[in-house]
Amino acid sequence: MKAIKIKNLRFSYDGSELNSFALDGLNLELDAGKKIVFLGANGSGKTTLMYHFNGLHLPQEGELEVLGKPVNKNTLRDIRKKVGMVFENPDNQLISTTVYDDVAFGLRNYNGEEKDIKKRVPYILRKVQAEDLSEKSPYNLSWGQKKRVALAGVLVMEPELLVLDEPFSGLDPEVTEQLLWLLNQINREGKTVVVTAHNVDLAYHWADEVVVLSQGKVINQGTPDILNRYEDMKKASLDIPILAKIFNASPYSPKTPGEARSIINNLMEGDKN
Amino acid sequence: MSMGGNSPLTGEAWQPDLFSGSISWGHAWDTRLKIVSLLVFVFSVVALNNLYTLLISWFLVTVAIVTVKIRFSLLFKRIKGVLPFLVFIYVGLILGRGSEHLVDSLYLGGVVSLKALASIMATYLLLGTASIEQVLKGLSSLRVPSVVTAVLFLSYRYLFMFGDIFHDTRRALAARGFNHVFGRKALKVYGEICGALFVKALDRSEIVMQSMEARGFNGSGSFYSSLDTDIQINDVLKTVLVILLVTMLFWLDRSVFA
Repeated sequence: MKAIKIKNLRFSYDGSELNSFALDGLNLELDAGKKIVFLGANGSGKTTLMYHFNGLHLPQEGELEVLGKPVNKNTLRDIRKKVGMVFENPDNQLISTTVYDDVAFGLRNYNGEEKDIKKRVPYILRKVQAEDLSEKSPYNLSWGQKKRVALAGVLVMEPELLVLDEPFSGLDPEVTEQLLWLLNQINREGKTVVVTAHNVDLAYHWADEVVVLSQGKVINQGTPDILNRYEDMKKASLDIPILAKIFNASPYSPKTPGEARSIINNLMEGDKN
Repeated sequence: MSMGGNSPLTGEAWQPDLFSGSISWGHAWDTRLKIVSLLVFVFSVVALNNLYTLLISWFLVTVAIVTVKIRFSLLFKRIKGVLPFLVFIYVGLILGRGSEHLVDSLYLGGVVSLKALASIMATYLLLGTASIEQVLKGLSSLRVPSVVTAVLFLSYRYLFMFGDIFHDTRRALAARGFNHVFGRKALKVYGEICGALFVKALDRSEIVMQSMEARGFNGSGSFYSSLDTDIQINDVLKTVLVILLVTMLFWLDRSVFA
């Protein structure tokens, strides 16, 4: 099943052709159940596209299908229930006075039973390792905690497709690793995880599929190996992954520092022998 | 529960529910009945005409505030925002009606001021003894339409959001050497700041709205569940006491001091 199907999608913020298009004739098909990373420089259209997946922006031209449903005014409510959207800045997403109520917000919008909410909210908070924050004000948390709570507020609705806009921005390496682990868990449950990022190294070792955007167009799409293509990456104002640089012109293409280390160790062992 | 985590609004004067965690008869009072009592009291105070009955009602609220352990200095910080308006009313009345009606104008000004002060202090009595969350839950329990509680809550949140942006802007100005002086140049900067603050707050509130829509908000859902605590006999007695006091005030106003 396709998680996302896009045909000639165009979008401009003032709705006219006078200014450049934020999305300019975009075509894309993405399979469900994968970890997908959208890469692109600032202004490449990543966030605009993510807003389309949740129906926050509706297609001005072209077609967009999410989880088999066309995104339009009539399907909005259903789409938003199935597509969870985590914003880049958690301060924009956290709205209630306690973490508990914030996580419950989405469920209440869909008329969830309080009895059910009382079970699901603590469960999700445990899942994102934030159970001890339940009664705290979301505004007094650290950046990493805020990100986790924002994610919990979306996960609690059990979305089939999880969209995260720049989830790793402002996170230290340890918290980034924790978040990646959590996203892996969610993906293992069969959910599609879509992420936007600038960090090509992260996309290289984590994603099942990557999409490179530039000026509202898809430059390239495929497995993380496409990030080795210097010309395409240059066109998108991005650098190629550091491991790809190091192992350039070698028969090896390690995705993680661990893989690279073992390749180097093996080569050194070979030399000794 | 405060919302102003890292903003200048963490200052005491900005947190209406700062004392909501204390223990007193006011804190123990069921929020639903407290809201009802407050509404009865405020509407009654507004309907009173006599300066003496208004003085008594103001005194009663003051006693209540003292006994629920809300600091007076903090209360003054909150109500001082209203004081300039009361001064305007006085000045307007005196200048508008001329010196021959000076005593009448002063009396009328006193009536208006006491009505305003007693009502604001009574409202503060509610907000000072229950968290914002409890008040909103109480309103939901009283079947106040969710759109009303949503507007109340979002206004409250907007205040903090605006404060955050104001704080960031002030810090950015200070970092670039702007000192708060008056003069033509400074006034120009202040004008630009006001414009930028407005635009930034508008932008930010739009993103907040989008994030709410992304989680299915369409204006009809509720932010909070209803209160699930039971109303005790003590809560009812406190409400009955308020109604008795209000009845007494009306009797004094209409019969004794009439």
